Amino acid sequence: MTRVVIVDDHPIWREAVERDLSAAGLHVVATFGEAEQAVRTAAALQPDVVLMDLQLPGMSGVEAAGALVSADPSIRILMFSASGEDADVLAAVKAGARGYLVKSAAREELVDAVTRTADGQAIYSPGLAAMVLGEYRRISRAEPDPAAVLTDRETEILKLVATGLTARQIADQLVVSVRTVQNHVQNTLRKLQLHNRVELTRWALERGILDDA
Amino acid sequence: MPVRSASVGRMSAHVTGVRLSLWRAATVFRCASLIVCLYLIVQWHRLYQHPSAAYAAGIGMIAVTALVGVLGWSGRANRWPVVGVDVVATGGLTLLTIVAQTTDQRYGSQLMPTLTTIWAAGPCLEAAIVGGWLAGLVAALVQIGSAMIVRTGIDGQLWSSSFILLAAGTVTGYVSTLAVRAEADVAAAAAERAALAEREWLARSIHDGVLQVLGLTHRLGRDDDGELGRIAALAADQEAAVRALISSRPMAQTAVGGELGAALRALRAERVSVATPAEPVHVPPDVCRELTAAVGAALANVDRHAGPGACAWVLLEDHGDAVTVTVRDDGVGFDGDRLTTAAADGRLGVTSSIKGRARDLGGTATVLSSPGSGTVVTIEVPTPGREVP
Repeated sequence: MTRVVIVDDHPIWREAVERDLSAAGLHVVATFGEAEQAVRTAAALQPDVVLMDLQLPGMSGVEAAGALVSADPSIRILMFSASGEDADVLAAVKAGARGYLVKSAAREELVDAVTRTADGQAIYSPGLAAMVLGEYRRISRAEPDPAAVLTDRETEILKLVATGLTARQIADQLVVSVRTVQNHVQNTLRKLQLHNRVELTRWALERGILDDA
Repeated sequence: MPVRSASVGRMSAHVTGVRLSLWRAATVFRCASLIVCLYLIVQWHRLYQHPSAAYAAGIGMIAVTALVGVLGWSGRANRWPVVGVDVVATGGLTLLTIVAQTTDQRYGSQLMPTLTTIWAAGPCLEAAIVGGWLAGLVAALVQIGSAMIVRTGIDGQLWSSSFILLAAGTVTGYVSTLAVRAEADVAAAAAERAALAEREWLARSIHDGVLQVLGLTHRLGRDDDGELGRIAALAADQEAAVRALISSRPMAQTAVGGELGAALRALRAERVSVATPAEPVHVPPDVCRELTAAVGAALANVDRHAGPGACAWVLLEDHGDAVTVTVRDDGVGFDGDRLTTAAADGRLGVTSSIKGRARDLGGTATVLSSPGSGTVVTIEVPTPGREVP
């Protein structure tokens, strides 16, 4: 059974989401109203998915995602927020979150997104796709990194995601399987996160925060 | 918010700040020139035909300097009546020279300066500070006129001092006007920043409270067929409206160009998703305006022709030397070959207007559609020589 941890500072939201996920047969192992405690206990809870609100009091959702991923790079975090997409969503995804869902999403969309996150898939909103596309273009202009370049196919698919097409619709349009589309989408996220990690390490080395050895 | 209104209040008091500073500088000049005049009167009192008139002029100058100085230092004298009285009083005190000096001293072989001499420049500076170059000019002409009456005409020395008075009045007036305008601009920019900060603060609080509750209401009630379902639908509408309100930024148009991302995001609605890069996309103002208008036209087209319940997605891409905007809808679509039908129901008009706007910007627009599979409008516009972060 999929184990889910919910981090959200609004009690009513927390309860509503927990109810929806439990009703769909997912196992909500813990809920937290703030990020520090979630970060401290995540390892012991062994969740398949952490559903994390972007706006939290104290430690932000972005910082919490970064802390969770550095403690356990395989952890699967799905960001969740009430507002439209903003730069914080991109920051959370670069820090290692596996996707983003807007809170106004329907119950079925939420359950579907959590299940797919547990399955290792990337969850994109159109807005996030546009920001990731923009980020790759920014990287290629600023400091070209051969490891952080999208293939033509990946760019094409990301653009279709950004204009609201579902994986099913994209698969039909490109005459490939849904799984292939999902793999491409996942790659776009993986390469960006890898680039970000290399970037952070280099930044730390240059400033002597990490030892070269 | 008391803290913010206090800072705005300080700013509005600050608008008279430059004028007040200039006025205080003029007051210092006035006091210094008064000392010179008094020294000359005491030094030369034996030479005058009626020293008492010279003393009277000295006392008058002290009184006027003190009165205007005290009023001016507190900021209360920056008004037309005070300046007007000062201009006339100074002119009048200059005329006392006619009584004090002999004709020889006034315009003959023993030529002496008027009793008020450089002190008479004071009202010219004050008028200029309050009313600009024209007021400075008028005040200078009054003092020159007064001196001409004393001298019964104009001679070489009066020419040069007249020139100095005119220059002082007009230049000070011009500088004062410029400084006040610059100060107003700075205050306006600060007010705009404060308003923006306040708006962001408001957006954050609305976001944390109102939007969450509306979203939750929508979520809990949307499957209900009765009253609750209707309330949920209303909550969803309000949620979209409030979100559009707090995300519309008045700063989308700037002096150097437009931020296309913000301009397009302002078009977000319940059935319209707008996806833009995280970094701002600065383009020339006309590109921003025309592209936003073209996207608006495309969205209006979706509203009219794509059928009920159709959704639209807008994607902005920044290629550095070009920008691409894609508008896709999942509506009924149309047959691209049947142009006559399209023209008949008005779609062609909108399509050609979008293409026209793109062409005017040196770009291209394509419209792809087929029955049942929605419409995709792609607009690409070159933006050469742009600085990209």
